[in-house]
Amino acid sequence: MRKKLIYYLSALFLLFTIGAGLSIYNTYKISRDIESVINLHRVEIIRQNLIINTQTVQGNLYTTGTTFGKELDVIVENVIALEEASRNCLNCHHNKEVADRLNKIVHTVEQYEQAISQLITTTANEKRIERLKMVAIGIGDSLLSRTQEMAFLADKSLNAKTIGALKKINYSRFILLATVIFAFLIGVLIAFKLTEMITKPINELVDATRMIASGDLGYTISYNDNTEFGELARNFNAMSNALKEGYENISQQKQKLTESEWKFRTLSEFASDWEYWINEKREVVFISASCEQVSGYTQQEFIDNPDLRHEMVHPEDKNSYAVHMDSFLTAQHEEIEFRIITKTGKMKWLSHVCRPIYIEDRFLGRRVSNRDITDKKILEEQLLQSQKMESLGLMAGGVAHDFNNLLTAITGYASLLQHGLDNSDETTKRYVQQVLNAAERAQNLTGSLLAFSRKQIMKPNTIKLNEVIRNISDLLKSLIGEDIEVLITCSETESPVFADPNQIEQVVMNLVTNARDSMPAGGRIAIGTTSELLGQEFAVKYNAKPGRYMMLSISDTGSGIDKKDIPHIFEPFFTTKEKNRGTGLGLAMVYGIIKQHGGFIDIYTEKGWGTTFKIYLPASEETKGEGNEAVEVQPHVDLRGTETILVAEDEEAVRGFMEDALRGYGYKVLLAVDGSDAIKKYVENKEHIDMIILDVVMPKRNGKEVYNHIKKTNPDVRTLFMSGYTQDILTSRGIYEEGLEFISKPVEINNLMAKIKSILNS
Amino acid sequence: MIMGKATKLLIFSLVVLCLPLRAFCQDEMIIGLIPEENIFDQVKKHRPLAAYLSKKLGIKVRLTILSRYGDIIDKFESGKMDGAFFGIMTGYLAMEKLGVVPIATPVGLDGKSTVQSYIFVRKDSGIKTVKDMQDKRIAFVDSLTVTGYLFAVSYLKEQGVHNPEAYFKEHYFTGSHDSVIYSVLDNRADIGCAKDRIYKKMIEKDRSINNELTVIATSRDFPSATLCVRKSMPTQLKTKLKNVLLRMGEEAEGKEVLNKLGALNFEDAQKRNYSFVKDIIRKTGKAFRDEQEPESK
Repeated sequence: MRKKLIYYLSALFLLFTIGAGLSIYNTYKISRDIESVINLHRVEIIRQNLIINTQTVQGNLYTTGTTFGKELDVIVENVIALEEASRNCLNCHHNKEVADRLNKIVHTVEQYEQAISQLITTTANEKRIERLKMVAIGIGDSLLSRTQEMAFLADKSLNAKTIGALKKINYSRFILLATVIFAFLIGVLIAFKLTEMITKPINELVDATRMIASGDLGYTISYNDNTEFGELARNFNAMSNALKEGYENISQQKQKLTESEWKFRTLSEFASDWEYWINEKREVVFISASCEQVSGYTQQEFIDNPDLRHEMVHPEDKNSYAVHMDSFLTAQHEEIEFRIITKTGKMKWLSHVCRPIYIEDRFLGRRVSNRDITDKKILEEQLLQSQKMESLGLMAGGVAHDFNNLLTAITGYASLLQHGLDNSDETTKRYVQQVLNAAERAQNLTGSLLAFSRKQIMKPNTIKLNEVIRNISDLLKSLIGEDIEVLITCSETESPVFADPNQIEQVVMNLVTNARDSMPAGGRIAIGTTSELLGQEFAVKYNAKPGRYMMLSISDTGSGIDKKDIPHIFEPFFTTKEKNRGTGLGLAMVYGIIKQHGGFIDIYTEKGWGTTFKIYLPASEETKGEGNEAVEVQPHVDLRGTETILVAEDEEAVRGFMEDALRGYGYKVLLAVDGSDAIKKYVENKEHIDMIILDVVMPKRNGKEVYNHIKKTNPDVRTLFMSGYTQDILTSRGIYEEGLEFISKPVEINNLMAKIKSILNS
Repeated sequence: MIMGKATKLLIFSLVVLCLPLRAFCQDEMIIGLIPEENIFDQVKKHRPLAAYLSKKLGIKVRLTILSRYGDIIDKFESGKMDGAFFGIMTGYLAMEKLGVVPIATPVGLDGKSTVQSYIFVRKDSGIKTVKDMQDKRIAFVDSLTVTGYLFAVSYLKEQGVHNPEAYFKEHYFTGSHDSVIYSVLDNRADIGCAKDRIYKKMIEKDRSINNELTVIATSRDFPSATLCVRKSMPTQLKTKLKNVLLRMGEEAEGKEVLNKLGALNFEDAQKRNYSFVKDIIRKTGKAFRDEQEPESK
């Protein structure tokens, strides 16, 4: 292209140079011809001047001495002018013939001057003077004639030359015009061609870039030649293809990245573990949606308050947490456990796994995974408790077993001694009888220990709890006394259980005894049975198998049990009674027996309100499936909902369970920690609240009071009461009415959801 | 109007300054030329000098050629000239009668500011002595020239020719030195009397003249033509004119002018001793320009 440009431009410039050269040459020629013509005319003028001067001088000579005579100076000037004119003529001409003529004229002029000078200066007689004058005039005439002759010839030549010169001028003008026009046309053509050569590929490139800019990647141009533009076009096409390829690669990578990110997000969001990433500046750069499920706080709340994750750490664990935070910049992988207080005030245990993130050697931050291990901790505690109880049981069993042996000896020898005593030795007999009585009591104690250790010999068979209760009802009434009311409610549907009836009786007896002892001023004891189907969640909680159970509940309106004592109540020899008022083995024995039967015990107690023991015995294998439930779960019914439910429960664990369960089924949950809080929460959110679930027994205001308050403003408020106490007890305490929806604790999730659904749909 | 002292002083200064300026302020200086040679050549030769002086003096310097030597006195007397290049005789007469002031004398290319007079004949004339001249034709320049007449007359008288006019068949005055030479060359005269500088100049132009003519008598050195100016010319102008002429040779333009003039430079023309002119006049017995036109016998 460069070469082409150079060639074209060179051609253009050459053309213009030629044109200019021709123009200049012709102009030169024209000007020379004009100059020649002018010179010729100047020469003509000179010749004419010569003639005129000669005539003038001749005139001067003729008139010298006369009135018309000129002064000498004038004559001298005229003659000198004549000489100059003749020399001018000579200088102009180079033609030999003409030059010869002019030389002669010049010579004649010199002679003329000499003659005139002589004439003027000579002082002589008139004759001489006249002679001199004639000589001068003669020379002058000769000069004149020669000059005229020359002028004539020159004039002819001048005319011819003038005509010739004019012709040449015209010709030169024509050539000049033709050259200019031709040069202009060729120049325009070359310029056009050149412009096209340059603009065509450029226009194609511009169009191509426009197409690419509009999104048509890979657009190529067809221009191709051996010039730089051709190379540019080829490079452009290659670039366009590379761009398209690159874009496609990027799109693919982006797609993969998007998929990867989607996968990650999906995994992250659906992961139950709460994950977040912190950069090297300790800023949270990612936090999974599960943070809300674990902590109750949303992702946005964590983003808005970077310190939130530190603030929610349980005050008792802040020190250990701070120690962990100090190792942020280290390369160590750390796992710690600490407690947090969720947004709803619930305490949770978290397993905090913290790993550093490195790319090559560059520290980028830490990746944290928090798993809610609260259930695990509860289970661990239960396991520990169970292990403890197991250990205690083993120990108690061992002691009881050995002790029984000793007692056997003591009782045996005492009996022998009694038999060998003389009837008159009343005192000794009395003493021996005391020994036997004490041994009998000791035997009872060891029996209890053995029961606790589950070492008692069981004689199980398929029994019906209702029958067992009815069998001992009279005994119970006599055991309890008259100042305590006994209510026995047996379920109409019953599932047989595989148990030792004597041991069951023992259990009932012990629990009733404790209930009696908790009501020294009198009260009520409610004994009841129900058949229940326990789901997986319930079973996991109590480390039991899901399935059908018979639930035996014994409730009292006594003083209740201190919460701090609850973990210990099944320990052997643990008692809250006064000294000598109990052996502390009653509940241990109950625990042992029920465990031996594959059941479990649930306790509901409120200080000052009373206690309910619920004993679950698995239904017999033979008869599983019988019985009814308060609510049967129909698999095909959708128990999920979107309504807003206010849950009032003072027990934190139960409150947390209710919240998790309801949210898990899609409901929106508002929580209240006591009766007053429930009323406040309802008033604030009554437009949004579709249903309320009230724990019956709550501090400040009980569930009934809350219900009555709410009912004033919303008579149709949908309400579900729940309690660990039996309905009979609640009714007797005036804190429950017949006809209100009720569900008994512990709540089985399916039963709960079905109940809620039925209430909402009612 | 009351004039302040400063104003009066200014006016006085202007008057004082203008006086010489006024005196200096002549529009034109006319310099006369004697017809020493061909009047046209004479004018052409002196024209560059006139232009040079015009440029240097700041006033127009014009030349005027005289047809006769004698006219120069008349022209000066009539005030038609401011200066002239005077010959020996005319210069003497002008200084004596008119009080002209000599300014400068051109120094010839031979380095001399003097001239000689030649008496010459054709080689083929057979004239070698004064005796051979008898009844011949003699051409003079002018009766008011020394080199073109008075020397010849004086020489003739020394040679015993006491009546020159009668001695010769014909005598006439050509008016210029070169025309005398041409007269002899053209055989219009047998004997001629002219200035050596003109004679040599013509030989330089035409070497054949040397083959045709021969000089039979040569005079002593006489002063060459001198530029004299009227005594009434402002002194400042005279001084400036003299300075310009004397310094012409110091610059290229001046040198060129001098070259065309046929001179090396100008030298200061003191009032030369023209007493010899008196001797010559006495010897020739000629007085002032009262010469009749000579007649041939």
